[in-house]
Amino acid sequence: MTKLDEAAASCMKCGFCKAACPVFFGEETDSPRAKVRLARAVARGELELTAGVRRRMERCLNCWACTVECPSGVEPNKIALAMRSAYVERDGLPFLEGLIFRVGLRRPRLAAWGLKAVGLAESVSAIRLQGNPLRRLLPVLGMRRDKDLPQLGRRTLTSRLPERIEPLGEIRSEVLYFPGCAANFIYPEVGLAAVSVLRKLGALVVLPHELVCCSTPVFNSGDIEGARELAARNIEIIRAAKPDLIVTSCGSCGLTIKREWSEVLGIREADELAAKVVDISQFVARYADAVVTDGEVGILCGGPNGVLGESAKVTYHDSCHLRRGMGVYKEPRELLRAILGNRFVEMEQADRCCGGGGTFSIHHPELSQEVAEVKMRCLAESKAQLVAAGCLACVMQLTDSIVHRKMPQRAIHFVEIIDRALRPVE
Amino acid sequence: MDASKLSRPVLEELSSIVGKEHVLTSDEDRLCYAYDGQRVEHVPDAVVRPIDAGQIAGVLKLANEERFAVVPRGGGTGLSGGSVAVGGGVVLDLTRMDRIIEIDPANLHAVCEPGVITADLASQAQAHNLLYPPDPGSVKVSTIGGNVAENAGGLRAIKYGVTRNYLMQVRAVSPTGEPFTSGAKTRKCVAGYDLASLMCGSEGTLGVLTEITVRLVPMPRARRSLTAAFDSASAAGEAVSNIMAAGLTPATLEIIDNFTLRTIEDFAHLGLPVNAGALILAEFDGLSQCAVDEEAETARRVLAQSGAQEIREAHDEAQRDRIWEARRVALAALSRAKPTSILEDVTVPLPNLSAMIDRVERIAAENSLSIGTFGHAGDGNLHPTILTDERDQNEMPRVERAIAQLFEAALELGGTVSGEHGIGFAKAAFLAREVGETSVEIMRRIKRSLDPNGILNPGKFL
Repeated sequence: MTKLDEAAASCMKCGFCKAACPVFFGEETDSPRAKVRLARAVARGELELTAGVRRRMERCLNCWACTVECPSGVEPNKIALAMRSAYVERDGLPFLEGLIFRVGLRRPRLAAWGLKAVGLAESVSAIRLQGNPLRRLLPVLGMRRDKDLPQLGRRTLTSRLPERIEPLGEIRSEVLYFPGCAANFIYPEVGLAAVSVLRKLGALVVLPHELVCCSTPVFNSGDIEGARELAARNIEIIRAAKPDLIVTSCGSCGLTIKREWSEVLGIREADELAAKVVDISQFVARYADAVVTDGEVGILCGGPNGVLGESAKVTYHDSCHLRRGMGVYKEPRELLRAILGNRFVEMEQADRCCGGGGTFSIHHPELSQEVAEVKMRCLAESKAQLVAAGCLACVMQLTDSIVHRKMPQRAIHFVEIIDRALRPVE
Repeated sequence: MDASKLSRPVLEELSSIVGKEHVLTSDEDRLCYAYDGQRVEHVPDAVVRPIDAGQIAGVLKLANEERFAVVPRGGGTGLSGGSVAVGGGVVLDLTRMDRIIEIDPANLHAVCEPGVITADLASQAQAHNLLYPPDPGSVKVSTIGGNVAENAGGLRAIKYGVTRNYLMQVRAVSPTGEPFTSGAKTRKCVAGYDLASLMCGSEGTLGVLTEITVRLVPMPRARRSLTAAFDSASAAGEAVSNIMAAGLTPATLEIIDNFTLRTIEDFAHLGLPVNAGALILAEFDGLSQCAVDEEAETARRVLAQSGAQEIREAHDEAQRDRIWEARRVALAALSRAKPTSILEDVTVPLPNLSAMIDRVERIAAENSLSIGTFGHAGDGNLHPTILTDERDQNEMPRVERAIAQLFEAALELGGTVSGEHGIGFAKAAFLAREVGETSVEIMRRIKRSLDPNGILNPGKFL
């Protein structure tokens, strides 16, 4: 708590964070500076750890916008995380979260079976169809009735691929691919595209089947201890693999491995991994460039017309953790521009949070859609038919927001576009 | 934390006026409305969030019957405590009233509610190729209502003036709960006392603004930005006076002292001349390139004659951004250097600018404090920023003394203790010193006649 007071002490309450915060809609209590002030009040004993303080700390997407905006170097998002952990420390976790964080996420095979069961229920009930009357049950589970439900229980990425995958040409690097839960369990085609891209660029890909959740949703919910357990297991596996690089295709996984295992969870051994973490777009930019300048093969040729159609326009949405956390925003744009030429268009406020925030969209369905409103307006104004992002949690939220508004666009992970455009190095 | 002092019937009455969900009484909510952009906090007894003038009138009538204080609040970014409920009472949060009602390119005006964020108004005006010039540092988060109540300034004040110069008309509710209008949507208006002007800078003590009409100007089409490095801050101060004396009107003319330059460079690595005593940043703008060129060339000559070591100019948008980046991050850089930064606002007549800069340096040395000075030199408005740690019991008394000395110096040099941040409660003790007892007494009489029960924002400057 003294540490918390110290972290909040530099806040001069200028309020600049309010302009950046996506959940701030005018009520001061929702602003980052208010969260900092409330945390300070608890740290100094002016307030107890009340339910009211908790409710306010949970209205944060951990999107980092306030932290980037703050003139004084205060990190309101980290302060909110620390406060959430204080509650979990005192009260423990709710039953379902405990089951997922402490059991499911630690056992990938068990999780796969669990998801298969849910997936089977989805198929039998046909609940994914928007017209299905069973959807009336969704609000009981705290979801919107028209929520876009991804197909669960598909064959996982790790069950489709071996643990070592040779490159298509000669070995240029040896990388560990950290797919993250979404690319493993829910969107395996994105994981396949990432691995395919890596192989085409001469990477020998190590895909340890025992990797577990990166821990982002776990510490985001305040379960620091559970998150440490997951991080420690991953660190052990990654260390044993001794990769040249750790490649991620999800901004949150990448950020968490690169910084948060150390900065949020306090695991210092993670520091040695930090320099090795690259986002898949950085990897492509690095290796594709080398190839092009060497004049060997122009690899960014061809085109993704198969999926997009001749004239479809594509825009790019910055995942918060990819942009503000990992500092990656140039590479995805450069790649999309190289592939798509003038069919790539920028949208206004591309770096504004989509409102997903992992479990945030489940706990705050309405607020999440209020945040998404700005994104959807900018998407519509961009005239793009496709929005590409570097994080599957964003893709999920963007898709859901598009469906909710009955808009015609689609959301996609950019690695799928890159994979379709990329010819193997010969 | 103390419990709310408002009785249940009063709270119920407030709920019936604005709706239950717009009356906040929990400890958590009240604490979040206890502060603004300065250090001192006071927890209000309740927060009320009205949606229109009728509700505001209802709240004020009730306040007069039940005798509780009402403190209007916009973005809560003020630097003199204007929106802090000093003696408790109700904070009247006006941010739900955030409609831009009209922008009229034919009459060059905009009408909006008080809770509109100033930058939003400016960007709506820009869409019509019009400029709303007042641009306080908090422009992205402060509200137009707060800007009018505090008569906010900004970087462009030197050429374009401050908020008051753009105010055409206000609708407001008097402290006793009567809605009224003052001013007109015309360039000229001498119909009676200028109550709109009286509201402007009244810090929410004389009325609650409910609708504001501001004047807009054509968007400048040409501009040139340049910087000049000087041996000493006072030499730079001289140069500023010389520029103004040469009949030039820069849109912006800023100064950054050596301490601040070094702090910015450590923070942002912009390639600033860290050995310079001070840096001047200037921008000229206008409707035609040739007029702007003429001013900028004259300025270069004056700066060189005033002893500038190095003059740099932006030749494209990127270079211009780089120049202004230094100024934009000044406060950020300073405030990261120490846990607490106290931003002052002394302003002097132009010929005394370099003398004031000397005094600031002396005050810093005498009190063994770090003070970084930057500011709107072109209008004599400096922001000496004291870097400290409010938890440091040894240093804080010296900080208080330095603040008092800064005010003394500004007054001795014929200036004011506040150019644009307001008096609030932080500088209340110095008001009489600046304007004299009689003047303060007249202010008190005005206040008493409009607000006999002392309902609106009590404890501020009077």
